[in-house]
Amino acid sequence: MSPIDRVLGQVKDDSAFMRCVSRWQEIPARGGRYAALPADLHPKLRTVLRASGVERLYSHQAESYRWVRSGRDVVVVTPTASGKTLSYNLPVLQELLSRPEARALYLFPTKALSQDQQAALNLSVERGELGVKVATYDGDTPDSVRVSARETGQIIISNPDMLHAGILPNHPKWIKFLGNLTFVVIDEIHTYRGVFGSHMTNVIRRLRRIAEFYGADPTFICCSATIGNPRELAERIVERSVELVANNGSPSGAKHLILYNPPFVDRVQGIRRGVVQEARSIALRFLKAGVKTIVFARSRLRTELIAAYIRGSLENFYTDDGRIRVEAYRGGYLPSERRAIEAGLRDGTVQGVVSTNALELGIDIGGLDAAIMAGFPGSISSSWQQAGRAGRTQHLSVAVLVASSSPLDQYMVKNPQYFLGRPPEEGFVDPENLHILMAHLRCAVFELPMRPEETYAPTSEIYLQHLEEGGTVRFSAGAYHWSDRSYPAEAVSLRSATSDNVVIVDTTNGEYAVIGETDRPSAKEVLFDNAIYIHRGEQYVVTKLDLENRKCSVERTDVNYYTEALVKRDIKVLHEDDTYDSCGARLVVGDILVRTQVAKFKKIRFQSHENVGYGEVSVPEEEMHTRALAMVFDDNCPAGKALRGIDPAMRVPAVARIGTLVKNVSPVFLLCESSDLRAAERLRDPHFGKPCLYVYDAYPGGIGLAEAFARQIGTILRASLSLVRDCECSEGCPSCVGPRDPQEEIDGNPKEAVVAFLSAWVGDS
Amino acid sequence: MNGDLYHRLKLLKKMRQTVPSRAPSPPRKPAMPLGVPGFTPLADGVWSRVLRMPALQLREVLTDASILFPAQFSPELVRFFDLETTGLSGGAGTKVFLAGVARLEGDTLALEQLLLTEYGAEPAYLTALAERFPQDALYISYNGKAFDAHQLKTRFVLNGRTHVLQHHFDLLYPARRLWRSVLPGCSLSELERYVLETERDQDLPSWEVPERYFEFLRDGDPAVLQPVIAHHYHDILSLTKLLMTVHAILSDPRDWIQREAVPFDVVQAAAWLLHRGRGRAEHKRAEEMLRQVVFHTGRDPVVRTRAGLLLGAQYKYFGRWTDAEGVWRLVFEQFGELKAGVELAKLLEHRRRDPNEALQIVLALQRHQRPPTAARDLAHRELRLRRKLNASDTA
Repeated sequence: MSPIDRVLGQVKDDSAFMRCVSRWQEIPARGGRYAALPADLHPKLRTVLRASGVERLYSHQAESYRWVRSGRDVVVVTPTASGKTLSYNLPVLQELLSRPEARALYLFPTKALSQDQQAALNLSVERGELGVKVATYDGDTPDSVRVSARETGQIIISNPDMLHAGILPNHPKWIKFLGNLTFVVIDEIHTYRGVFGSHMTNVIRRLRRIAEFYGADPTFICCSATIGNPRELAERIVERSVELVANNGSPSGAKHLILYNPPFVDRVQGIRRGVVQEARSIALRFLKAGVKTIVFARSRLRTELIAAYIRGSLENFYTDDGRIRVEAYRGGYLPSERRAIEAGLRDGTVQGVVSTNALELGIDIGGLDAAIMAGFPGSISSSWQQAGRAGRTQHLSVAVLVASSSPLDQYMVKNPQYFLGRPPEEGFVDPENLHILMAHLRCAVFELPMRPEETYAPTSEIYLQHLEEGGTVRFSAGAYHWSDRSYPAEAVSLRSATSDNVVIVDTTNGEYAVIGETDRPSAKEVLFDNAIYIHRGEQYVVTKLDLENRKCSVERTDVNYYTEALVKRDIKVLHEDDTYDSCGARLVVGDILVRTQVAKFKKIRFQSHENVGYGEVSVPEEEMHTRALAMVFDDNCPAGKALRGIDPAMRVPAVARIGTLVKNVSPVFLLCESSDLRAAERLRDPHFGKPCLYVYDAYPGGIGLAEAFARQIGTILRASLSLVRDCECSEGCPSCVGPRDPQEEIDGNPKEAVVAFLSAWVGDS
Repeated sequence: MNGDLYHRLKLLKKMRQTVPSRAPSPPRKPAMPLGVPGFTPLADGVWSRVLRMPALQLREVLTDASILFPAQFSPELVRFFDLETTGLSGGAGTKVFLAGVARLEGDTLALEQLLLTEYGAEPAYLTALAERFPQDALYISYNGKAFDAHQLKTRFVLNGRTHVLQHHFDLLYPARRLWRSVLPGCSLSELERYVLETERDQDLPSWEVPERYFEFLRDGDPAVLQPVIAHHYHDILSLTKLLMTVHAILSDPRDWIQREAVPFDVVQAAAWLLHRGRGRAEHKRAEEMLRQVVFHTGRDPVVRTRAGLLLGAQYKYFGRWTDAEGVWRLVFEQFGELKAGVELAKLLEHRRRDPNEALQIVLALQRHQRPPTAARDLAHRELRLRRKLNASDTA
């Protein structure tokens, strides 16, 4: 009996645990479907495959091979550990062996992934003496290696950021590579959604434009583990028609999926035990039983908290039992730290890891047996991706989703059929997003003068004229030329809309060691003076946040609390683009200015999570210009009437609660992260003079979410209504409209008010 | 639809302006200049100016410059060059708009500057450059290897052509060796001030160069380019002077040491001669320089130490043990230098077969705090020497 069988047996006998399980789903093992090695396969490649034990292919690998060989672009969608890499390595290596001058570019969303990929490829390339030269080209590649990578690398492994800021602006140095570019592999294509995806489409446009200049027209091979609309997303990103390979032929081991809702602490108020503590105790149970476990947390702070709690609990344990090492892993760590943790997981010196979604992607961390999601990751596809991190080795594995008290989490554990039956979310991109498009258009003109008849984007010429007015481009001899001393790619970061980072420096005992970095807007919210910053389980106190010099000095400390900023936001409407009456309200889509001010912070005690004090914060306010949907409740529209139909004292609480509700429900419908979207309610809005609810994009310039919300508003509101009406609580709980807040001092039942308001507004359909 | 778009573009522009990166530009007024004073047109948008000056001395230097670059390049094949570009970060969008090349014509130096006055004329501009930048010549620049040469190559590639400057001698490298340790910096303007002792009346900060060019493109007034053209012209002249100075120092360094006219790093100059010199004469000259420094009691002990270590290594390489011992002993005894002491101990132990004196040296070295690896090495050495001494005692 394996450790995991044993621990699952124990858990099943534990009635306290089982009372919290809303669904225990066994996903049976699946047999494989195979195909013979292609008849035209190069003998050397055949030898390499045989040497590593591959006598036949999974059906999807063979299918992908056929499409690519016939010159078609493909997208391969099969789960983690289904041999996806071979789906693209095989056709690529085949071509490189018969045509050594051909070149391939592999793009991975993160640096860590590309290093893993190179290791795997090098191994097979060496073993079979294929003689194919593979080189990694990213920010960590030393200058001395770069020249040879460009000149002789047949497969270059890189990431979109490097392609955008390093390769494309310097393409004359890459003439040999780009002129022979035959394949572009885009792995983990589901990561290119929303903002990142819109950037990616533009980067690919630029790549194809430059490749064409050198006479190349590469075939695209895209891959993903879980995405609802793989073909559509791939076609949006490469902007060509793409063949879909989705029939997974690989076998997989059985998996237990457990939906776990923490027990009530206060049933009346709907308060349940916190996800941090619950995830910790479940992880401990697995780890102590010898089960290699990964915990996914939803924020960097939670990652550090859970890791610290697990380590704290193990301290007593490992004095009399084996040593269990648990690491935290998240963005903001230095690359060397991340590499060490990844290696530890692979070689078995690290048994447990607590991670943000940074480890959700295919970084090879060896075989893990259990995955615990501390909170619903925000999308169905992320859930499957995270659950898939356990069980790479075809053995029995387990995944536990621990629900937080957020409405979305509660919806998922209370509606397992919804969670299990729903296809993964669809990914969408908006390459015509003004902010993103303009940034990449500047880069494209820098890379190569642009002729007006070029169709970089549907309305590029208007944009080019706009740039010319501003003096950054100049029209001369039939083309727009870059005419500015800046290097435009430098000013554009693909990962979020602002590119400037704050460096975190440990100055304990007069040292000066950079321990991490974070983007500027979130620095104001997590790195204000006197904030507690947690890094790899060490506590630091912020001694000085120097925004001007993008530097934050911290010193090691040891206190029993962590800090959370209290953020105030206000909204100013800049321009109304479209107004229409729909779904019983006036809907206005337009530009707004959001001003964010951190004025105070809370100190929260570890373990008990109680509030133990406040502090003042003085950082300049952050301004963001973005896109919003305002739902205006005019007196005579159904929504306005519905609002007037409820007790006047309940109107403010009801609208506020609908803000909470829709913001938390809509990610499922808008295919975004909850954090991509924000909501704000006004009973008497200064701009509209009426009660109104804003839903807006959390990115400068907007990313199309507000518009999408407007399109789907009926569905979202009806889903919100059914969630709140079917909720078991009596007066509102964190699962639906939020718990009753004693400071509000209202007499009526806010939940009933919301149900009444929403029912009257959107009806009972 | 377009009204809306226009509105949003305006907003976007306003947002950009809140970021204090660039000053708002005046409305553009594209105009081809009627003429650039002193320049003659070669083609539409391509202008040239040639200035000549006597260069007898330069010719002499270039005739025998084998200490700097291979002798295969006759003086006629040497080109001094410098470019002005629309940006300093490089990349495909940075354009060359002013290229200068100077070469010998008999006993005169002909300095030609080529100006591009419209981006669209780049193909013709490159044709003119290709004629004036033969690929087999030797190019002398200041920091041109890392920047200018790449930029030039890039412009040709972008216009579907290939043009590579194959032979390049970048004065930045010898200049850094000679002056990095004695000057506040090694930019061309700093070398002008301290080494060439030429001061420019008013010089242009380098960021202003592209800005002036953009202004010229917008308004068509060649007057704004005049300071750029003058700056560029002086840069190339300074190149020729710098070459002569470097050559003089490396050819007859004794003279420079005695005159002390311009300070330079004697030890680095000697190192250059030792590593790059092709004949016995250059090695002898380097040794001579180093001896002068090591045994010159008036000099800075730090410099004397560095010179001593280099000289000792040189003697060791040629097996001149007595000379080596003398230098190491001096540097060790006078300045307590660790490396000299260790070398001396090794020499005494293995060459002179004198473990006793070697041990005394090691013990003396151990009296001071040493870095961990050095300390371990010394302890190890001490142990071995003691074993050797014990063995010979008992024998």
